[in-house]
Amino acid sequence: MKRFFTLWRARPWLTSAFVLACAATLFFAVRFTVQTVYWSTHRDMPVRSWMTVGYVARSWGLDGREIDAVAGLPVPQVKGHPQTLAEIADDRGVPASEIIAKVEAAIVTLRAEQDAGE
Amino acid sequence: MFLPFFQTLREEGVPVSVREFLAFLEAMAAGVVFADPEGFYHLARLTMVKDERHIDRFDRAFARAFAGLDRITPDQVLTALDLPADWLEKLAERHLTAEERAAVQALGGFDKLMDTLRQRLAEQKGRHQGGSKWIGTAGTSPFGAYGYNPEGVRIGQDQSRHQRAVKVWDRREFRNLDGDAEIGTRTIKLALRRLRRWARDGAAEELDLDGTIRATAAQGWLDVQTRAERRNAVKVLLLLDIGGSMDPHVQVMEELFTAARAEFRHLEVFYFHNCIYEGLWRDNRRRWDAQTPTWDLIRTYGPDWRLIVVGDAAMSPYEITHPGGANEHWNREAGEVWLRRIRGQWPFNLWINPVVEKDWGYTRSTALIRDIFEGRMVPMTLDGLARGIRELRR
Repeated sequence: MKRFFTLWRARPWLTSAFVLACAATLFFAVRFTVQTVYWSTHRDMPVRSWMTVGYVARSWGLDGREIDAVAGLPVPQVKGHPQTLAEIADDRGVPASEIIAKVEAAIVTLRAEQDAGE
Repeated sequence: MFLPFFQTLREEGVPVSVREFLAFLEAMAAGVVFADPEGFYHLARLTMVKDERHIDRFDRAFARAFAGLDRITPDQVLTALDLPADWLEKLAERHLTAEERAAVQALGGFDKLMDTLRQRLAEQKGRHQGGSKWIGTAGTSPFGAYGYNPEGVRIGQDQSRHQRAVKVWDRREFRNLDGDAEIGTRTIKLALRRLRRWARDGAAEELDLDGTIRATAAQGWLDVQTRAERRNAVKVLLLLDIGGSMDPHVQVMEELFTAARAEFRHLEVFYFHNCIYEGLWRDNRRRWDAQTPTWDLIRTYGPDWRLIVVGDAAMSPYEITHPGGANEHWNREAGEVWLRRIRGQWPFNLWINPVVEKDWGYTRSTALIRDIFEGRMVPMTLDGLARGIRELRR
């Protein structure tokens, strides 16, 4: 620790940059590990109303915007933040199950296209 | 292409997930089945039905989703697909057995078969029955319905008779296993089996093979070990409503009684009429002169007994709420008092109602009893019994 302070006094900018780089590396390493562990156990999750289209897309390995397009859902920019399927259903005044059914149909369509393209 | 089928399955109440449906599509894409309706049906069922209770719903959904598909002629399919003839011939060579190919050839090949059909349809004006040439019913022509010809084309017949133009889903062989269906002795037994709690009691008369091996190895001589037989230790007090509005449910009551008798070693059965009051009886012919006071039951059978009451809960509300409301005798205490009393004595309790669940709302007394039983009332269906047994195990 004493050495570190000595170094910092001698080269304050360089040491600060090094500390920042270390912090960024640690942050991205932790995020990568957490996401890898999380998504490895949350693949192909059954669609639920609390999910956003992005979450569904990530879980099913699809493009969120394509799901939006096929299912006829609004893009996230509409409200400035991603909406859950329940919120989309509320906005439209339809049951959440209806939106879930549309998203599921979109998943099936896109997956079938994906498989056909392979 | 199969999305409507997926939606129909959901509408009919088959809990099929997207993942399962994708597995089915993958199997189709991999060519697991081809041009085989029965194979297609079994593949779909295999990949998308997880529980035998849903097979009948699946059959209904399948019939609905593909209704009329068997009426599309191969000719129409081929025209729509516009497939090259040589490719088709190669495919036929791969998928048809030698006998099947010979049978098609017997009519001069596939094209000839379709040409002949078209020609005969054009020539024939009216309905025809029997014979071996015209398209009609009960004949041996390769075209028509209710007849027999190994290479025939079925026209105007709803269901298969010789199982050659197969519609397995129409047979609905799994109708009885549907969770919402009325049930029989076997299915009741299956449901009651979930209430099992094994225990070994009584005299040690059963050979303990593991113990014998262990003891023999330890002693150096044959040391036969025995143990008590394993039995279902659950004790059940079954109270059955009898007479009046319960008459239409006699058969299902008998089935429940038979199943319970076979399943539970500790089973006590008593009868009552409409609601439980101060007396119950074991023999319905002696219901007036051989009653057992309900207090005796409460004192005799401990709280470890499971109480199952079976009745339609259909009566005048006064029979539950008021002293003197009973329709056959003067009851000093209201039925509700007795119902709460027995529930207090046996905390594991359940009311099984043989009336269809959607009709419960039409009877005020059913709602009253349901409230007294804090919602522990289930219909006499496989699903209902399974739900009830779960309640009893808590």
